[in-house]
Amino acid sequence: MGTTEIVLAIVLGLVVNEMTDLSPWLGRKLVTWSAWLRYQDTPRAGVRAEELAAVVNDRPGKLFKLGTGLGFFSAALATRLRRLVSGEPAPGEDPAGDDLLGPRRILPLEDEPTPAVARFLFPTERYRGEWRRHWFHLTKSLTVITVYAVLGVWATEERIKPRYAGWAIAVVVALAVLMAAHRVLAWYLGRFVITNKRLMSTEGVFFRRVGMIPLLRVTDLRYVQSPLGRLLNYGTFRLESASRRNVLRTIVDLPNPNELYLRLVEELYEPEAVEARLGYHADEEPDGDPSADVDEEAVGGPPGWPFLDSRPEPALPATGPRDPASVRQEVVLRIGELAGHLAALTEAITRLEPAPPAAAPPREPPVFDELSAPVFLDEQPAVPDGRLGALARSPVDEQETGRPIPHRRRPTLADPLPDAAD
Amino acid sequence: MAPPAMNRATIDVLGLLFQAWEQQTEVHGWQLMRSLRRSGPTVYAVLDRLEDAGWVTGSWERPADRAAGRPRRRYYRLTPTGAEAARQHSVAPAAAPPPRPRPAPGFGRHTALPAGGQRH
Repeated sequence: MGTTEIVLAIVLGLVVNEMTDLSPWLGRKLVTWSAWLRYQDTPRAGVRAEELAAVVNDRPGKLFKLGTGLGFFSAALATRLRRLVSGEPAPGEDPAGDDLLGPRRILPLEDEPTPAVARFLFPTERYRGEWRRHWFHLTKSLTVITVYAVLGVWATEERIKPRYAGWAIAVVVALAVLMAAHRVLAWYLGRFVITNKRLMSTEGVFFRRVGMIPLLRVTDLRYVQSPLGRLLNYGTFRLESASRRNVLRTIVDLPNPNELYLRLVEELYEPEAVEARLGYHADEEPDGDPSADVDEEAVGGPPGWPFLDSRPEPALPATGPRDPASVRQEVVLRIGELAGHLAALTEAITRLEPAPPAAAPPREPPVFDELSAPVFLDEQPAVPDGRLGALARSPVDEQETGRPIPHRRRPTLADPLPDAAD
Repeated sequence: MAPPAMNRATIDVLGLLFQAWEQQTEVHGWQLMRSLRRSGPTVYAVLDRLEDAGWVTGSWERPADRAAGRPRRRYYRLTPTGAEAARQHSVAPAAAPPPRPRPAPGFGRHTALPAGGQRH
């Protein structure tokens, strides 16, 4: 055993001994500082400073006292730093969120995809949001450019003859400004997009780089946050996919990674929940336009058939045609009453069967046509009335051509409801 | 004042304070930290919010109870509003933590059970 080791042991023992005596005092000092740091000028600061000293005093264990003091101090420091960085309101009042790192919701840039993103989405895919990178990403690249510009200016001053130095410096500065502008533009244009089918990133000012991963192929998903990233709330996503050449392997510096993470995981596991929250329904197409304009005259029927006029007024719901429940109810109502008309007609036809053919046959085809044609041909509203009539009408029926042909537009929800009529 | 956000820590602190309210006592900061096994900053962040909402008041230790050379403690109790709120949120008085689930005796020996004996 050498002399140095003996000396070291003695010194270490002394240091530890002194430290244990020192640590309660240090712990009390730390909590006092933390109170002033956290509550700043509010009257609560003095109260807390005194009572936290009592708390540390109550805490058994000398080193534990120091630990408690350090805990209070680091928490207060984190609060203060966050307040400084993000400009949060009200010193002395904690934001009413979680303990110290509360949830800060970040919303997508737009509810609808911006045109730059919309051109990469196929029609049936549902858009969930798009995000720029965190502003700190831009700050990092701008800092690098600034450092290189300063170095370049310094190098030109050192190395280039003074005759040309002015021009050289101008060139260096212009290059740096151009690069910075490029970076800002790239940050402004670059987007990270989530849809219900895939993750995408679109980037590039001159070159365009569009990468994607199908959500189903994401086998592993994690995000990494540096301490600075936790303070400023950005993080890097690392995606592991089933393909070997993964384009979106890492996505650096996304804002609020925890919320993005939750959104992604929810999209992976509970897409129905996302749909429900966004207000979609399974049978509702986003472009569905259930217009409820019903041609009154068409429903009325020809004047010779009084039982057709006994039909009640169409009970259009006051809540608006967009309400799927009311539209469905109306459709069911219509189908029911049409079935009633059809039954009455067939009965009338059977009654007219022995009658002289001059009266009944010319009457019968138009009626059948105008009750059946709207039901089966309601998906062809673009056919002009005259042509529809000419196609469906018997040539005997000459006196009816002046009358407008029934042409009923129907809510698009009529299609998935044949079972409701049964 | 707006009611404070009810997170887990808030519920714990309220529960302990409610228990103290029912026993007509007061608790100080270290007691809260020790019984809840939560870090000091968490407990005090909750206390700040509860004080802001007017659910909790603090009072200094009386000089008579006080040993010399020790910093004053600050005791906390619920206000009537706070007690009512704690009751409304049905905050259970902080009890002993539930026992850790243990495997029942005979766990893994299902063959010894009669067939269908464990059915409800």
